[in-house]
Amino acid sequence: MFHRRDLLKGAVALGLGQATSRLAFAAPGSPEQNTLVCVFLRGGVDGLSMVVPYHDPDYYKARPGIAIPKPGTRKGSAIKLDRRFGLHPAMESLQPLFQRKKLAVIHAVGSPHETRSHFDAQDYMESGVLGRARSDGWLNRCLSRQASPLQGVALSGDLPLMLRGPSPTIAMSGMDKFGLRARKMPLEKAFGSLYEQGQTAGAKAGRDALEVVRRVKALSKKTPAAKGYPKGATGARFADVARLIKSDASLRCAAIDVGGFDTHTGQGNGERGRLKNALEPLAKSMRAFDEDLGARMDRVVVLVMSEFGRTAHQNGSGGTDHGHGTAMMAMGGGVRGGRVYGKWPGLAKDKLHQGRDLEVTTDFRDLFWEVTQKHLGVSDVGKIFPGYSGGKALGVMG
Amino acid sequence: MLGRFAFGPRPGDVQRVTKMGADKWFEAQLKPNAIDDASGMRAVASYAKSLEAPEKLGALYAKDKGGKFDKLDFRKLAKDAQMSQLARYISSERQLQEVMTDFWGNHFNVFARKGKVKIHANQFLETAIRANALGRFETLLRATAQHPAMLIYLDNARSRRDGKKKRGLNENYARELLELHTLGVDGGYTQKDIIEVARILTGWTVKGKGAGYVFNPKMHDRGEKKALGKTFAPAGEQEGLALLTLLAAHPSTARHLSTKLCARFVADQPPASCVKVAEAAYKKSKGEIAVVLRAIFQSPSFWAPKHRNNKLKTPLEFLVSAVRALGGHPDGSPKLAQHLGSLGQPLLMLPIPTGYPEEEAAWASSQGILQRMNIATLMATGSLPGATLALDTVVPEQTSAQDLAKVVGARILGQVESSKTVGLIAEQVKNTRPKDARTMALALALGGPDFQRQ
Repeated sequence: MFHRRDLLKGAVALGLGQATSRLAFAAPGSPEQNTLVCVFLRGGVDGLSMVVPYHDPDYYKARPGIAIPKPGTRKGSAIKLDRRFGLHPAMESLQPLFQRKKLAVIHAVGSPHETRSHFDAQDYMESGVLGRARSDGWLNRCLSRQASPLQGVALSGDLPLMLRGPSPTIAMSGMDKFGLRARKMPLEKAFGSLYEQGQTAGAKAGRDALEVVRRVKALSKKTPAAKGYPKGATGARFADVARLIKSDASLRCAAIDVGGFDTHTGQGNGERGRLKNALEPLAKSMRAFDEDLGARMDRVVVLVMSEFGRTAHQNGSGGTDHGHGTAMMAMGGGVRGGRVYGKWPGLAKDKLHQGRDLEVTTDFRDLFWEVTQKHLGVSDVGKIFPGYSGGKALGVMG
Repeated sequence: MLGRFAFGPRPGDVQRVTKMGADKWFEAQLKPNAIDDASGMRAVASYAKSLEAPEKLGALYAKDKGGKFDKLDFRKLAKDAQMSQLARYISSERQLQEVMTDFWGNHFNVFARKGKVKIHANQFLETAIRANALGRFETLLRATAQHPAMLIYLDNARSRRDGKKKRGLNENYARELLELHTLGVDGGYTQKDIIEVARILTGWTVKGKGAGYVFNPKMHDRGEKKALGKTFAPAGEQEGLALLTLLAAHPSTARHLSTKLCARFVADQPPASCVKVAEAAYKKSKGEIAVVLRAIFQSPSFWAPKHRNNKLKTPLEFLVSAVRALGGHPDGSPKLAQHLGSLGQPLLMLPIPTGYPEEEAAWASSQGILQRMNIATLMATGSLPGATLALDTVVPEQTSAQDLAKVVGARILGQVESSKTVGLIAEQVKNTRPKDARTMALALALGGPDFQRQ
């Protein structure tokens, strides 16, 4: 029975300078080598303008001021995905990925739960359990109780609910900033000596923390951030996730938050506005991430989610309010891209959820379960999503 | 003792209490109103706005968007509310009352972010919890059951008798009342009991616009109820009062509360002998919290060497005890509340009704312990945003690393010079620049494993 510390030490020895040989030992396509990156668009992304149902005349009726024009030569018009849907032009970076079948879109997906509260909806989507508050997340439940916290990393100041739970995980706002803010004092070594002996859970946690700090420092030095990412927090976070993957830190799950999607006012259209400003760095970062990882992208899936969508009709402030169904994306290895999945319910008044929102025709757990089962190799659906017993597979993961 | 029945010693406390005698200190703490608390009152003054009546908070914390919107600046209110509690945990002389406010606040958890709980949560901690923290359990229980914060948080405010077609009953509060607040999960109740209790409590609601508790007979289920082996004849609000009396006196409640109290004050896995003693005290005194605490304080379990420093401090206990150890007080800003949030325990912000956990396993994460090291280091520099610290008083200039380690060891860790930790600190401090020596020594003391124990 390994002591956790031995596992960490072992991983360090393998990690530094033996990247390719370690990959060669792993069985091809074994889920133990795969990484799932969950990107949470906070605020409830307007799926209807992120993935434009340009074939549906009700979309244009509902949004006289802020609809994205049909694909065409006009500036700010949707980028054609297929005969029904197009991408918001701010996401043009993703078009080649869709064409190369590496990016899949899922529409009218979301939570069966009624709530339109950010906090409740985010909590249910992160805990994977509807209607009851929990203190641990579904992503944490996919991880090992024994591994290094570097198996599950959140690129943010606080650990999101998705990654909280009994499996060791850790949050860092950035690899280069992470660690002991030691103010030029030799505190790492000093704390190390104090935490060396203790056998309590607290002491072990301290030891592990310092071990992670040391590893991340070494990995930071060894693998600097690649260029090509857009400026700003989102780009930096994607760049750091890529670094962790490239340096073989045994990263299994990562979580990135992207904000700015709660577009009650000034949502804008294809040419300008809050939604464009929020989507552009996301799309550019995803593209840069794919290019940065190169062949390693075969082992990585990026899953883009949001707690709900927004009202079909625009409001009086050039924006939209909290809705229900939204659009999500999956990109990477094992993803059957180049398609828009999900059953389109339509935007006619009698087809809207409670007469106001895009209906949910795919439970988000159907999508998440398909991805975690195929990509991470987990098999106990009741453990990852208590209260859910599986649904029909979408086919997103082939 | 000061680590358990207080939030850790302030400079000089150990000597004072030793001189006075632990028994005397403890007995005095059981009568908080007789303790002069200029220090606590001074500390909370900057945050007093958040303690105003709920109906005033909207105006006091209005988000000013050029006069257009009248929305509540909840972020600001929440920070002030958290600070109004933290300030007293840190600075009040009525330490046992503060510790019990934290304990009962967790036991009767409410989530401030839910709807109108925003404006009721802090008053809940004042009038329902703190005021009754050392009194009779039944009084405390009733105060929570009739408070808008609890009634809204656990949905009882909108629970009404079932209609002919429409379901009106909401079981949420009834379930948590039995499972978490009184009998405990193995306390011997059934799903049917939960429904019957929910029926009894219909009508326990809040006046329009979240003003205050009111019993609304129109919502009340007027039938007879049979719960927990007793028949409740229709009697309006009296049914619920009788229920609470029954629950407070129930042997399962005695056991459940005693177990939790012994877990807090003795060991995560409380020794059976301690629980027994506490239970007996509860039953004999008919639920007097002070009597139960005294029984625990006087029990051999509490003083047993194996129960010394056997617990991990919660983030709250870490932060408060560290500021106290450095002779600190809140500086009038909300920053300490932010630090507590970064450690994973933002007050009044836990969505789940079980409250923040007590046991070590829940808090021993790499994330959490690393953050403690960082905050300890920040404190050690003497400038922690959120608090004024008295570093020079606590650790005056020393000439050698050894002396520095000795002073820090004694004053922060309560350890003698020959202890292993003091030796390690001395050794590490020798490797550092002289101007960093004190910072280093304090950082290691506050962020090291020993200070995390209590």
